[in-house]
Amino acid sequence: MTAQARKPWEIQKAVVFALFLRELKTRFGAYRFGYFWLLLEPMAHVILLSLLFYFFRDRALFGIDYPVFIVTGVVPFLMFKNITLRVMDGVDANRRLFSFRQIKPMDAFLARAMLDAFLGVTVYALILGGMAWIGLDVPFRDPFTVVFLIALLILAGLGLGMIFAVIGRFLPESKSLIRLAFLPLYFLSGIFFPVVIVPREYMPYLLWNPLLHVIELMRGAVFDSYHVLPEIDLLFPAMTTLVLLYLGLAWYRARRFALLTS
Amino acid sequence: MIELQDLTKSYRLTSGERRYIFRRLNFRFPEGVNVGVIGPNGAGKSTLLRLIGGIDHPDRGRVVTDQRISWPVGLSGGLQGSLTGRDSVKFVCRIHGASHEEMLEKIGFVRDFAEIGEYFDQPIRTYSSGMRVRLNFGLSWAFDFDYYLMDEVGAVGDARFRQKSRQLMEERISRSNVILVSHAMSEVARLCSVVVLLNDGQATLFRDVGEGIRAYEEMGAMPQQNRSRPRAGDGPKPPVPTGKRGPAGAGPGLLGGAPRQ
Repeated sequence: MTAQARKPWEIQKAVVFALFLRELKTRFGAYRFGYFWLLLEPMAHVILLSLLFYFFRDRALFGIDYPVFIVTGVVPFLMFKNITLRVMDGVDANRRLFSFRQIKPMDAFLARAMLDAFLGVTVYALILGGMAWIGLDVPFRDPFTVVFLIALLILAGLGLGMIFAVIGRFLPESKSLIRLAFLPLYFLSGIFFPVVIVPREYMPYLLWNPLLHVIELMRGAVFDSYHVLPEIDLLFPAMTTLVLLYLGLAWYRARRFALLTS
Repeated sequence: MIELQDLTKSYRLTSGERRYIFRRLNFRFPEGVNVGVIGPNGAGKSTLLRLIGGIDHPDRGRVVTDQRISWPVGLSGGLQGSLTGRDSVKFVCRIHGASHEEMLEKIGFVRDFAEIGEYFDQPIRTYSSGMRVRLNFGLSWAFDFDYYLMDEVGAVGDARFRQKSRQLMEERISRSNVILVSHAMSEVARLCSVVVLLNDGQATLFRDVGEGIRAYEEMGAMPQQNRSRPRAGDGPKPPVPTGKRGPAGAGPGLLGGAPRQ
């Protein structure tokens, strides 16, 4: 142990790193094919939705390979969902660790967000790389925008997860409701359909979903020929992310001691 | 130096009202001595330990210290069932900023102390409760602190392990100090040179251990209703997520999860 006192950020860095490794080990150590399951969930979505699409193949898709189209929506969505829910449960899952004074709930939030961001990005790269390798068309027209959008999803998931963690502390029942809410969100975020096929009269309501904007922009950034509607806007999800992060951090700050007492 | 400044700590009862453990408590721990903290059940001994350990936070006021203070000795903090004993030692090393060499040294120390053989590389959930205790204590004594926090001395394991554990503890305490919360007055008398008596939110320092214990025992003879504020025995305990209530290191509650035999 170091003789002189460590600086706060040095402690936090060490703790987040330790928690990251621990989460990684506990997540995958238990199953023999732990890492394999990681790819299985998004692939199951891709295969099922591709089969479904096979029967509705007359839909216009601008000459885009449908499995690739699905991946660009499903994997970022699942990453966002995993980060949010993992951060939400971060306090309960690590409760015993808070007996070490160095470890605070924020460290658990950060470690979990980082781990699921890391896993999501890895899965994204692996699946898209695999698809390009077997001959599907994966143009990656605008990689910078892709990176930016993924960063937005990570930060939004962290912010939202922290908000839910605080809500869940005072209203434990809310957690199962929040988990359920991701199902309708899945259908409303354009995961398996391009927004242009939505009838005009429903469009204004659908556009209130920031996640839809991110997914659409993601398609626009990956594919050469994808038609992004003019109503789709980068500023809206970006501002939403900032607001979520602000609320999450502020609320955490105000309630950080209450989070620790069960 | 460990000093409590204007310390206020309360818990909310299920009925909604607040129960105060400490109200504007000011106290300075004497330096360089082993301190025994005694008092009746519910006086806030464990809460005080948690506040000093930085695990719990006061409503108002603060704990000021320039000392390195341990986590409660023998507590199974980071020991998660799915991690192996070795990984748990690594984890605790990492959060304490140990270098690679230090980490290897701690791993060796804990492995030798715990004497759990090949189980050291098995998930902790497969341990017996005795094995967990050995690992927990090994982990605590592997690190150097100015103050070790102890909630009961915890006489656990077989006679030989107890003997070894005791020797190691005494060796550590000869270099550092301990703040011991205990109901076992013989332990307090043996290990500590001053006593802090907690009662009714007040802390009284006794420089003479025997005198402190006598004061406690006289008080302990009095029934509950003698206290100034109504404090029913069924009032909720302060929340203790780790469930350390029994003798430290003894119950499955302390270790989290039912031990598998």
